[in-house]
Amino acid sequence: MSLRQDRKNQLVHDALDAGAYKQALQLCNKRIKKGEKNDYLFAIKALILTLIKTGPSYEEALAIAKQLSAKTPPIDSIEVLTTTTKVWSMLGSEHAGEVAKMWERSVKAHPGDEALTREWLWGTVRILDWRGAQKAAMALQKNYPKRREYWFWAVLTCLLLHNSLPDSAVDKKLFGQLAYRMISKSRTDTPTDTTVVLPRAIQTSQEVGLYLEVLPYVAPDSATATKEALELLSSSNLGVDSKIGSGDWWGLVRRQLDLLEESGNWMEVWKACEDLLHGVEVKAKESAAAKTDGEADASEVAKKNDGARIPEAEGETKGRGDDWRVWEGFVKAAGELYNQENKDQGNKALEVILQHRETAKAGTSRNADLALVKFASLFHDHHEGPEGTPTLLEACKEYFTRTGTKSCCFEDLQNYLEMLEMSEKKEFLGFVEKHIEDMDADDEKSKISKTAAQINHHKFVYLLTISPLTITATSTSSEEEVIPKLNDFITSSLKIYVGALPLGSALLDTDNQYGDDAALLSIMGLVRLHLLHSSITSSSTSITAQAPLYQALIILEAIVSKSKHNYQALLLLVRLYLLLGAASLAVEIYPRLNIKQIQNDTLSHFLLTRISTILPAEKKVGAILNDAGRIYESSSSQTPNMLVLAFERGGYAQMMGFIEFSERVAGSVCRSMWEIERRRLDRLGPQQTNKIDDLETLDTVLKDDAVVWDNRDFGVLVNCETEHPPSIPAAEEGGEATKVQKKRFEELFRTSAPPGENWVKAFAVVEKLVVYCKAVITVTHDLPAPGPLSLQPENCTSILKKIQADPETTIEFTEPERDYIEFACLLTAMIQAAIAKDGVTIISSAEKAQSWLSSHTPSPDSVPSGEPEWNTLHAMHLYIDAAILVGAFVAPTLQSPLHKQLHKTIRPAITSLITAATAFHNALLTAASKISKAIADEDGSDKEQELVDRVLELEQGNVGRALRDMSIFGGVEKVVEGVRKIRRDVARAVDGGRKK
Amino acid sequence: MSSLRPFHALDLFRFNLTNLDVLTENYVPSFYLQYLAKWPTLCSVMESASGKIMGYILGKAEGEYTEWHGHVTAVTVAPDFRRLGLAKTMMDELERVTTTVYNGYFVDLYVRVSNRLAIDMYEGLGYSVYRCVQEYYSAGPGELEEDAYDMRKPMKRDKKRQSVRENGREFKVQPHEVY
Repeated sequence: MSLRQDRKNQLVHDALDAGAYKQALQLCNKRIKKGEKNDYLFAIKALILTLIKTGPSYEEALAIAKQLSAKTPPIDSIEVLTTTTKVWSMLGSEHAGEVAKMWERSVKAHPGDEALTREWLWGTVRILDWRGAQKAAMALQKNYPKRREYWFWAVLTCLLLHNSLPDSAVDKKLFGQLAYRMISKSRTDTPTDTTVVLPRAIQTSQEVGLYLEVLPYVAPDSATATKEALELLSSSNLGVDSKIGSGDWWGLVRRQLDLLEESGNWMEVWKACEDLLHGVEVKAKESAAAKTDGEADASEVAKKNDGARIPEAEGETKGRGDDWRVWEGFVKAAGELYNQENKDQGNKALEVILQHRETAKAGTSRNADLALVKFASLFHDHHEGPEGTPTLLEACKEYFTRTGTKSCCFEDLQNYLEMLEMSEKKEFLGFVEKHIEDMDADDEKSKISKTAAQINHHKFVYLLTISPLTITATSTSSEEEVIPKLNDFITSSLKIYVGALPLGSALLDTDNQYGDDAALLSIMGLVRLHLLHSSITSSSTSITAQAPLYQALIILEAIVSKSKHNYQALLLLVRLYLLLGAASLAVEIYPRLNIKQIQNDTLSHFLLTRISTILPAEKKVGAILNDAGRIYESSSSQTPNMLVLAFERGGYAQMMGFIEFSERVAGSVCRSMWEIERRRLDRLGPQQTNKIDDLETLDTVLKDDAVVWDNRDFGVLVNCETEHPPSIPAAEEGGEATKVQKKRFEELFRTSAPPGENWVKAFAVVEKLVVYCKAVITVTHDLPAPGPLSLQPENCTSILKKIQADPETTIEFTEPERDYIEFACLLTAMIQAAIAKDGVTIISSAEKAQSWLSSHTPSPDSVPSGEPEWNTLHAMHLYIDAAILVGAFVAPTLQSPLHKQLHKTIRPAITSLITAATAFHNALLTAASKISKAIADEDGSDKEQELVDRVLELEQGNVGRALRDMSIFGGVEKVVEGVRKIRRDVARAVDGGRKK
Repeated sequence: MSSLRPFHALDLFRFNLTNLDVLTENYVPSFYLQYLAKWPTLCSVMESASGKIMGYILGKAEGEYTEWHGHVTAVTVAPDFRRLGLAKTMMDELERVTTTVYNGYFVDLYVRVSNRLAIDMYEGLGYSVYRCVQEYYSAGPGELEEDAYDMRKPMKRDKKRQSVRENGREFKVQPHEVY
């Protein structure tokens, strides 16, 4: 390519990078018109056409791609071939075969061009075309047998192709077998010593990993695969203790233990673990001996002269068995063997555990300590076990004694404490309380340790006595008992928090205060109090029910004022502000979480779920949504290159993970959710762009074979809930008690069920139809629209109806969303009838839609009762969107020139529907305005006073009293100010949904 | 309870306990994947008995001749699991792989000179300051640039202990000299 052409191409690329596709196309067309006819120019033009995404441009791109692919002699320019590959991939997966054909022709025509064949492989890897990749890799390994990596690339691509094919594919098995034969050959070629190594022999731990990946797919049954894998892992040249295997020693050891456990060979598991633990013992003894010989502490040496110690002989790096995976396997195997009457192994296991505990000083390695607890738990039910086995209660007590000042103590003991009998649980709590009382608190360090122990104690109290309490009102007597219990728990947690604040005077700005977890426990208690009051008053919006949430918010604001980066508190603030309808405050807090990169896929749901219907007028929401959506673009452009890198650098065992990561990001439920929210925001927000946008994301999710992944992280939020929730007694005598489903803490106070695959499919259909209607009016002036707008109204209706009919799927929707879908179905039926020129159905659908509007119209004369909260905002804005949909959906019915003959017949019904929609919209705005005004007028009113009184309840032992008394919360005036701030924000959120 | 295992690409969806932290950087996904593709055995995760990610380490092998070494790019432990020795376990593994797989002369890492807690911890693990890289950390809005200590620990191959320097804190270099 000449310099002049390079410069011209650069102009096209600049326009492309700036997203100015039409300008880029003009630049290409101008050059073609002037007679320039090089392949690259046509290839780039085709690529631009695929980005423009209209029916005609799609067809033109297809024609160019076909032309370039069929050229004789075949194209040999890597640049043209890779660009044309991109074009084919943009044209749809149905053309994947064309890519392989094009490259194959080119490679055949240039058999000695290694770079060309490699580029072929990279082109296919980047678009996850494993059939093409397999062909390219095979060509490489055949033509260049001396390059050992090509052999392994061929194995890998055979495996990836095998994995990507459906079970019904005839050649699936063939590729699995081929991968296995090739990697087996490598294993055979691997010598037992390392003197002579054949090029195709296995030489790295990643290649061992590849072998292990292939095995399960080709063995006749899982037992055979396990047997062969274990044989490999214990082999002298490739096993865990071999030179090659040692590269990924931990990975392979874990694999070996998993396989041994799967095969149920408990004696082997026991021996393997015992052997690994023996290494720890030797190491500990050596270390102790070295100390007594006068070796100074390493840190002291280092500090003294900036000199570092050289790691001891390789022996030190062996015997790294002090790992919970090893201990877990050891105890499990001992228990299994003991139950199989092999008592010896049980006895010896206890000896090993006790010996390790003796060697390790308290608090160094918790593994042996917890192993003792696990060991005791095995014999908890039948109270037998090797002589000297402590009871589970004794073991838990000992564990707390040694580890109680570490925050991980709670998580370590949680499951075991739940196994205890009720009386034992009480005894444990009493023991912990007494232990803490006896702890020194003479200096700051011991006070900090004591605070940590107190927090653990409170976590145990929550787990064992608070979490099992039902959050549903059952009888007055139980409430009388439960409410004071919760108040006690909350206030005593707050006392720990406040008491620990002076200890944090020297903490850095980036640290959290020592008592923060205690304050978080008080929030957990307050959420339970809110739920209980909601149940008693049969309303989550009564002042009694809402007051604990206001109290929680006041406490959380205090936490984050002292610990700026307490992310648990920040997440809880976002959730609680949303729950109360103070959505702007949630949006204001959110940036402090500093959510970046992939966290946008896992954590942004805490704020953004259904956000367009909660706060559509807030400009920041659009910016946050756009930001959250960027991860998908960057991942889709960068991850393919990482796949290529893993090939090149031999990271074979990572490959499956990379592919799954890439698929999970591409098909993430949040990706579609944010796209839907963005589009709704465009309709409901103050600045409507009214664009016909790229529908690629939503098109993908609507495909029959679409897989929607849920990568959201709900588990990050603090949780001390019991694994065994209580049963709710039957209301009537003789009825069966209802088992309460196990829930994490955050599930107790979600704004609503999280959207899933069905939610995104249903609303993707609505968005597709909106775009379809706009296209009909502005582009085609006809029904139905051609080209890429492939999803026709009849398909849309069937998807919506299917989702509506299944109770399993509708749980993802709120009640207003279910209503909205019903309304969308009526409007879709109207369009379908317009296509069929069926005037009668158009009229009947329009009438039904109108009737839906009347039944959902708020009464004009009354201010809606109850306090607004998130779902008031959600319903209001969603219904406003329903009214907006009417405008979008009726337009093509009326404007299509082909349906003029129908106009006269249908016009009255359509006009009536439009009028009803306008009235509906206005009624909603009026209601919003009334609610908003009512709240805004609350300043200094009796209603405000009632809420404040409730938040600051005077009664001794209540949370309100504690908030008054503890100066950290700023006293009465500050609390009133806090309550008022929240109420004003609720008023703003209700009013802020309206378009200005 | 803790268990060491290789870092997996899907851990990026699950490492929020560690990454919801002001001192832990969140990089683009390709940054992590690049490490996993190139140096898979130098990247590990510490997992709790219930499967939570308690901490992780990302490392690489780089340098030429006697500068060939293992480098700790990131090591982080979630707030609830600090002071349990998890960082040491992960560093031990990185050192082991540096020696047995890569045959490196030393392992090194960079730390802010103000991060006394981390410096103490690394010294406890046998690292010492080799040199001070001036203004290595770029400044955010309203902040000052900060120096870094390049801390090193000799491996078996460094028989002459060339990666240990007396008074390394006083040996100042410019950032461009270390790239």
